[in-house]
Parts: sequence; C-alpha cells; structure tokens
Amino acid sequence: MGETARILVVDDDENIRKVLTTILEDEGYIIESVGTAKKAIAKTGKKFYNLALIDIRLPDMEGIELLTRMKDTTPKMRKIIITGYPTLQNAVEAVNRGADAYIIKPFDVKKALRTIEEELIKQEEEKRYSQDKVAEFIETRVNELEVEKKLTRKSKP
Amino acid sequence: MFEMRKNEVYNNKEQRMEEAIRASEEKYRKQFEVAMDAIFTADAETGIIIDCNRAASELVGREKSELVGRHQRILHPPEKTEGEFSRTFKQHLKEKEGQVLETQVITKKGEIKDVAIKANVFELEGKKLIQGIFRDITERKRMEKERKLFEKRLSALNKHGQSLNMADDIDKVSTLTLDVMEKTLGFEFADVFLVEGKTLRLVAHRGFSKMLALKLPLDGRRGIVVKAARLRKPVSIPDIRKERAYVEAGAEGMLSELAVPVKIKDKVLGVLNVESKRLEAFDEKDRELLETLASHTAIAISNLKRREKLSTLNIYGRNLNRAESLEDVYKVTLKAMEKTLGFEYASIMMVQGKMLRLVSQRGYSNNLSLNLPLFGEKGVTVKAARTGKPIFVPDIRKEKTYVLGKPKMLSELAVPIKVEKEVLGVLNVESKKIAGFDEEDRELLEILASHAAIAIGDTRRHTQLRKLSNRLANLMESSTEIMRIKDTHQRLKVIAKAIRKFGWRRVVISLRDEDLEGTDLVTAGLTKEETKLLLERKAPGHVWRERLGPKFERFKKGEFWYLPWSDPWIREYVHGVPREAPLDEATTYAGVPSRLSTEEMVDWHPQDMLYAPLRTPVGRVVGILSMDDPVDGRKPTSESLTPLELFLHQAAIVIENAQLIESLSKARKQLEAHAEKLEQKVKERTRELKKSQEQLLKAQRLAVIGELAGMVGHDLRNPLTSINGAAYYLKKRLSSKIDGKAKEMLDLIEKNIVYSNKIINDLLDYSREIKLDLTESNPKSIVKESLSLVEIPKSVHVIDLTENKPKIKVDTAKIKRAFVNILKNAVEAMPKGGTLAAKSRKSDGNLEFVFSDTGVGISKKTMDKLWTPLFTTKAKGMGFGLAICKRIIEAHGGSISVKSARGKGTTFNVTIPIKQKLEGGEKIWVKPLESLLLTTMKT
Repeated sequence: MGETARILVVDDDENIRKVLTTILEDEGYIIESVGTAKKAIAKTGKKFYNLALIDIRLPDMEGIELLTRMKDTTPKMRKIIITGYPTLQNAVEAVNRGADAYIIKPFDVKKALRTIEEELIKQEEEKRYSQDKVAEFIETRVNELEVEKKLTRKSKP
Repeated sequence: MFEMRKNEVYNNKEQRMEEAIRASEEKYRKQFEVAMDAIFTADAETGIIIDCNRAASELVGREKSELVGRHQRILHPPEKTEGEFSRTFKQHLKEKEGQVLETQVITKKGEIKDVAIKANVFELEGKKLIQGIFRDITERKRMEKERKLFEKRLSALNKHGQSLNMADDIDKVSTLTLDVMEKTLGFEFADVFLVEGKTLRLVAHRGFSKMLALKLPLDGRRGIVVKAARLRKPVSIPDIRKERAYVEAGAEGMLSELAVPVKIKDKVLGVLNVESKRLEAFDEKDRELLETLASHTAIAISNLKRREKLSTLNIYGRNLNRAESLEDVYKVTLKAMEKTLGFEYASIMMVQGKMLRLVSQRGYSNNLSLNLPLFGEKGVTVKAARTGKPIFVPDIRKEKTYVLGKPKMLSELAVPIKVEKEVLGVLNVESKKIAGFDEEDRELLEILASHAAIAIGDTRRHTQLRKLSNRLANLMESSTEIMRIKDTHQRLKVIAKAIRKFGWRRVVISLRDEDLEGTDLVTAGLTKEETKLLLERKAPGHVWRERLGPKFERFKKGEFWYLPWSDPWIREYVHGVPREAPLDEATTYAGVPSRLSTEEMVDWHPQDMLYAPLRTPVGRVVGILSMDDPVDGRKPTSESLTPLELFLHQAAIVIENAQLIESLSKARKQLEAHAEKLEQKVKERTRELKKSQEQLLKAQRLAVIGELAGMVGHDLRNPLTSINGAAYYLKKRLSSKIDGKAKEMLDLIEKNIVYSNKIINDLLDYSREIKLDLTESNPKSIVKESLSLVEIPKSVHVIDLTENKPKIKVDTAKIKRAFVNILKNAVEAMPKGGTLAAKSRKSDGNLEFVFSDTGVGISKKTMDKLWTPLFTTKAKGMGFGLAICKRIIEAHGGSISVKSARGKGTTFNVTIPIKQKLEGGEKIWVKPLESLLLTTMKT
C-alpha cells in the first residue's frame, strides 16, 4: 500500500501503550498514543489516522462514546475497540456506534496484528472504491453531459 | 024471661048485692084472717085496737081477746111511744097513704121484734080507722145488722190487707193478722200456724194465756189445723169433743174451732185458727172472713218470702261477684238454689263442646255423672239448652226425655243459663212431688240463671284474662329462657312449648332454606311416630311457596294462613279430594292425622291446616310454623292468633341468629384455618426466607468474592496484556539471538498469561450474572456442537443418542459451555480410554440430557464438594467449571445431578424445563454492578 498507515493508540494504561507502540512500530506503522479521550479527539482533529485502537474504558469517557464522537469527525478512520469486558452487548453496541472491530484483552498479538491489517486493507479498498466511484461518477457525468450536448444541438435546427 | 028476671033480677040484684057484699066480706074476712102479715085495725082517734088477725096475735104473742079493746100502745115497747100513741102511729096518721115505717113491737113475753108497718087510714061507718099491716122484719133486721157487721169487718180486713203488704217480716204479718182476727173480726182466741218444711208450726197467738209450742207434722193426724192444711180447705169443728184430731193448745174449755188454710193458689203456707168456748161458735160468715184474711195473709207471706228470696238472690248475686273460678260460681249457685230457693235436688249442667255435662249438684249421690249430647233426645235439660227456654215437667212419668238422676223424682224444672243468645248451661231442679214447681220458682230460677250467666261470663273473662296474662308471662318467660339457651333447637323448642300453652296441642317449627325446602324440624306435642310420619310426608319447597302465595291469599288471618277442611276448593286443591266426595268420609294424606275426637271439636276440623311463615326483618323466610288440635276445639280467630304473632318473630329471629352464629363460627373457623395456614405459610416463608437469607448471605459472600474477583480479574487484564505484548515483542526480536531455553521461557510466559487469563475469565464468569440469550435449538444439535468443541482422543468411544426433538429454547452458547465442561471432565476421567455416551429424552415438561462415561468415577468425598466453586481435583484449573455449569443450568430453571461409582463410571443428569421459567438461583444472585466495579477500579 502506498503510504504507511498511521495508527492512534488510546489506552489509559501506560504499559500497554508502550508495548503496543513497540510492537506496532516494529511492524512498520506510524504510531501515536494518548491516554485520554480528550487527547484522542484533539489528535484526530488535527491529523488524519488510518486506524485507532481504543480502549473501552477511558478515564474521562467511555470508549463507546468516544467512538461516536470520532465517527462524526473522522468517519474514514478505522476504529478497533480493545476491551477487557467481553460481553455480547458491548460488542453489539460498539459495532453500532461505529467500531469496525473488536479485540479482547489480553489479546493474542498475532491475531490482533492480523485484525489491524485486515482493517487497513478494508480501508484501502474503500478508498479505492470511493476513488473509483468518484472517477466513475465523473466519467459518467461527462458522458451524460456530452450526450446532452449532442441532443441539444440536434434539437436546435 | 027477661021480664021475670028483671024482677028477679031486681030482687036478685038486691039479694045478690047483699050476697056479694056478704061474700066479699067473707072473703075479706078470710083474707084478713089468713094473711101472713099481721094486720091491726085501730081507731084512728082513740087508738083502740078494733081488730087484728091471727098473724098479728102471733106477732105480739097475745090472743085477740087480749088485744081488741086495748090501746095500740101496748104493741110497742115504751121507748117507741111518744105520749099516748106510738110514734109511728102518729106519723101514719099524718100521712094518708101507704107509708112504710119501721119500728119495734113487744111481745107479751117481752121479746122485741122489728117490724115494718104499712098503714092506711080509711073511714068505715062514719069512724076513722087506721089499718096497719105489720111485717116482722126482725130477721131482715138482724141480717142487715149482720151484714153491716160483716161489711165492717171486711173493710177492716181490706185495710189490714194493705197494711199487711207493708209488713216486712213474718212476725209482723202474724201480728197484724192476729190483730185483725182479734180486734176487727172479733175472734177472741186466735192463732197463726205456718208451714215449715213438713210441719205446721204455731208462730203467734192471741187470747191464750199460755200456749204450747206446737209443731205438728203435716202428714200426721194431730191438729185440726193440720187437717185444714192437708185438705186445703177450712175445717170447722162445732164440737171439739167429737173431734179426735183436736189438740189442746193452750187453754182449756175450748169447745169449737175453725181452721182456715193460708194458701196461695194451691200451695198452703199456713193456717189461721180460731177457737171459742162456745159450741158452734163459728158460722159461714166467720169462715168467709177468715178465708179472706187468710188469702191476704197468704199474699203477704208469699210476698215476704218472695222478697226474702229476692234479697237472698241479691246476696247471692253479690257472692257470685266474688267468685273467682267457675267452681266457685257453681258452688254459690247451688247453695242459693238449695238454701235460698229451697230446691232440695239441684244440679248445674254446662255446655262443653257438643255435650251438656253435669258439673255440680246437691242432693244427689256424689258419683253421679251425666254427659248428654246437645243434639240428642235425652234430658229435659238438653231440651232447655237447645230451645233456650225454661222447661217445666210436672210429671216426669209422662216425659219421654226424662233422664234419671235420682229415683222417686216426679217433677223437674230446667232453666237455661244464657248470655244474650248463647246458652252456657242449665240450672236444674227436681222434686219428689208432682208439679213441685210453680211460676214463682221458675221466675226465681231464671233470675238465678241470669246472675249465674253473668258470673260465668265474668269468670270466663277472668279466666281468659288470667290465661292471657299467664300466656304473656309465659311469653316473657320463654323469651328469658331463650336468651339463656344457646342451642337453636332448644330455643325453638321453648317457643313451640309456649305456643302449646296457648291452646294448641301440636306445634311444628320447620327450618327452611331459600327454596323453602325443609332442613330441620322442631316439634312439641308430637309423638316420635308422628314426627317420623311428618318427615316422610313433608311437602316440597315449591308447594310451600305456593301456599304462601297469591292463590291462598284469601285464607290469611293476620300473619297466619288457615285452610279449613270445610272449603271445597281447599279439599280439592290442597288435599286432592274431589269436590263430590262427602265431607265426613273424605280423608287426606296431607299432613299427620289428628288426635282429636269428634266430640272435642267445636268448629275445628282435624284436617284443617294452620301455618305461618317465619320471616326475618328483611322479609326472608327462614322457617314455617304450623299448629293443630286446638284444646278448645275451636277454629282460630284474629284474637286468638294475634298474640302468637310475637312468637313468629321470635322464632324467625332465633333461626336467623342461629344461621348468623353458624356462619359466624364458620367464618371464624375459616379465619382460624386461614390463620393457621397463614402461620404455616409464614413459617414456611420464614424458613424460605432464612434459607434464602442464608443463600443470600452465601450469595452475597460469593458475590463479594465475585466482585472482588471480578475487580481483580479486570485489573489483572491490563498488566497481562502488557506482559503478553512484551513477551511477543521479545520473542519476535530476540528469537534469533537467544537459545532454545530462553525461547522456552518466553513461551512459558505466553502460556501462563493465557492460563492466567483463563482463570480470570472463569472467575469473572462465575461472578457475573447469567443473562440468558434464548434461541431455539434441539438436543441433538446442542450436544453435537458441544462435542465438536471438545478434544476427544481416539481411545474414547462416543455414543450420541440424542434426539432431534423436542425443540427447546436455551442460551445455546452457555449450555454448550456447560456441556463442554461436563464432556471435558468425562474425557479426562478416562485417560486410558472408554465410552462416552450422550442421551436425551423428554420427561414431563422437561428435557433430560444424560452424559455417562466409563471413567474412574468420583469418590464420595469429592461428590460432596463437587459443585462448590474453587474446588478441583485437577492439577490445573481453579475448579470453576462445574460450579458454572450448575449455574448455567439452574439459570435455565433446570437441575443437574451426578451419579458415580468408583472405578465404574460417572453419569451426569441435566434436566432443563422445556418452558422456561427463569427462576431459581438467579434471582438470589447479586448482580455485580459494572459501574460499581468501575468506581472501585479508579480509586
């Protein structure tokens, strides 16, 4: 993929932030981490991140709510919820609120990396899809316009 | 001839004239001589008697020769002469013709005679002569004198009669009578006898210096007075020496006697008697006078007696007023009849029902008893009672209806005792004499009867009043009694008995339900058999409803219904007897036959029905009262029924009370039962609560542990994540630089993290509330999926006998988890292999799973602790598995059990109800609040 993905880690546990950062950087991603939702919102407002790893329990906000916030501001960013409370209800709600995936602590790292990868690919695809879509649209529109032009000329004797 | 005769005649004439003269002279002389009247001829101037006839000389008792030539003066007594001549002579001379003058003449012997002289003055041969015809009127004069005397006596008598009437006692009557006899009538020796019973008693006398007390038997021979009394005629004895019956009463020397009975009609009350020392002293006139006197006296005496009787009757009347009972009335009446009115054989008969019965008597034997039917033929008294009029039988031998009370009776008088038109009884008297009673007796007896009637009426009223007040007292008594008695039956019995006292022999109170069906019975005056019969014959409820309904409205008497047998509609409708059936022969099977006899009944018929509903104040009928066999044999009237209405209300209230009390006690019992049940329930509940409290405590403890565990678990997750991540990185980075041992160590770290996580999971699982996510599934698929999640070594043989049915709604994930746990245990129990079998079956409303293995089995010690969390026999694992299993299954409302035999195998039995109830242990589990955990984590 072209650019290197930028991932934001949002977790109030410093150790986890460190470990995640280390592992993910080793994979070649650009990692930034914050410890609070507020910081997370600030960050995502300034820069674009491809993916965010969000802990469901943050000191100043529920992860779910953060999701909602982020959805509005950064719809394209892939969001993965990390939680230590694996309940179906939580999962359903998270997905409803805009989470793209769900990881349970403590996670199998390999599995987690795979999930991240998948999400990024999905994002790429979507992007492309949307690019394609735009291109297609333009093309179509141009064609339509051309057709129209031809028709109007024809009807003008 | 003629000529010759002329001369002859002329000569004859002269001759004849002379002859004629001589003849007439002769005739005249003869007439003169033989005339009955005395004729004197006297010289009118000189008064010398010239001639007189034989009668004349007889008149004066002198010979003619002694008279002729004498002065007429000698004819008259000296007092009759006036100077020379007698007065009448002179008078006669004055008058010329036919004057009749009365005077007296005197005989030679000196006897005075009364004469009436008629004188004529005439002339003969130049002389003035006076001829007087003298008629002896001595006799006439005497008679006149006598008559005058008689009249005087008579008038005196009449005066006596008047004064007699004012005499107010016998003595006065006697005295007055004697007065007359002595003074007016001139009887010197007089006495008065009165009849007393069978004797004639001397009550008063005049003229006798001393008198024997005389009491002569009327049927004896002694006494002229007795004779007179017996003969009822005056007896005159001119010479008592010739009379054997003569009784010397008081004076000697009596020679003649006249006894005159004092009688009224034919009844002799006494005798007036006069005696004289002269023989033949009393003549017709005396007798006549005495008889007149006697009749006056008789009237006076009888009036007296009558007055006496009347006054006694009044006393009797007063005594009667004080009589308090009928027996008193009878006694007093009989006494009056006997003593006052003199009736020796007296009896009182009273009307009782249809009979006339002897209630009291005097003079008869004590055990005389008479009970005569009123419509029969026997008895003079019955006749009197029936006709309502006095009956007098002068000779009972001629009376067919005569009933013998005592022998030798010959006449009878029966007088009815009446109050207005109602005959209450009869007063009866008998006599040994024929026609022994008269009008006066009847009158007196009638007065007595009317007094008695009033008294009986009063007594009856008294008795009734007393009865009524007794009844009222009974009523009050019964009310008090009822209040003391608690038992309904007893109470009703009291009422029934009280009603009996009001004059009804049989009383039945039946308790009824809403349909008027009889539920219970209280009787008074019925025998056991009668009660049984009544129960057998009782009419059903709807019949009674009708009997209280509009059809029978016209038979209502106040609050009672009276259905008389006499009404044909009743006979037909109620008793089912056709109208045509004769009254007396028709019988009915309704009700119980009466015990009354026909004589006892007056107007009540044994088949009459009398009943009344017992209504509560709101009008509900709780029972029916019925009575029959009235003591007095009469049909009921409004008056006789009204006092009983009180009982109706009493009885209704008693029954209602009983019902209320019953329902109250029932309610109380129910309440008690409820209370007991409640207590039980409370006990149970308490036990349950205790249990649940215990459980709660346990649960709380566990919950706290769980919470703690949860908290710890959660908190542990983060560091675990870090360790895990770090270990991964290290492994990745250093794998080429480190040796196998170091790598192993890193692996170890990772594995243990996984294990730690598992422990945390288990802990969290156990501490969390189980929310069931029900989906439909079937036993086979659940078990199949569960088996797929378990690593089964080849040495274990699996038999899956689970079925597709029935469909069941469960939280499949959790159930699977539970089953996985069981299966894992089973596999682990067979390290050397074995058989694992799974079955499913439906039983009742449950789905049963059976998992059995042929493993090592579970020891008893282990069994006890099997379900306890944190217990494990395994080397690894914290031992939450089966505990969670149990929770999951119990969360479905099911149960899990285990059977095991050491060395043989273990069987797990899981039962899940097909219809989820979601009860049980879950309720008691305390849900660890996530927010709570959150808070605890942050602090």
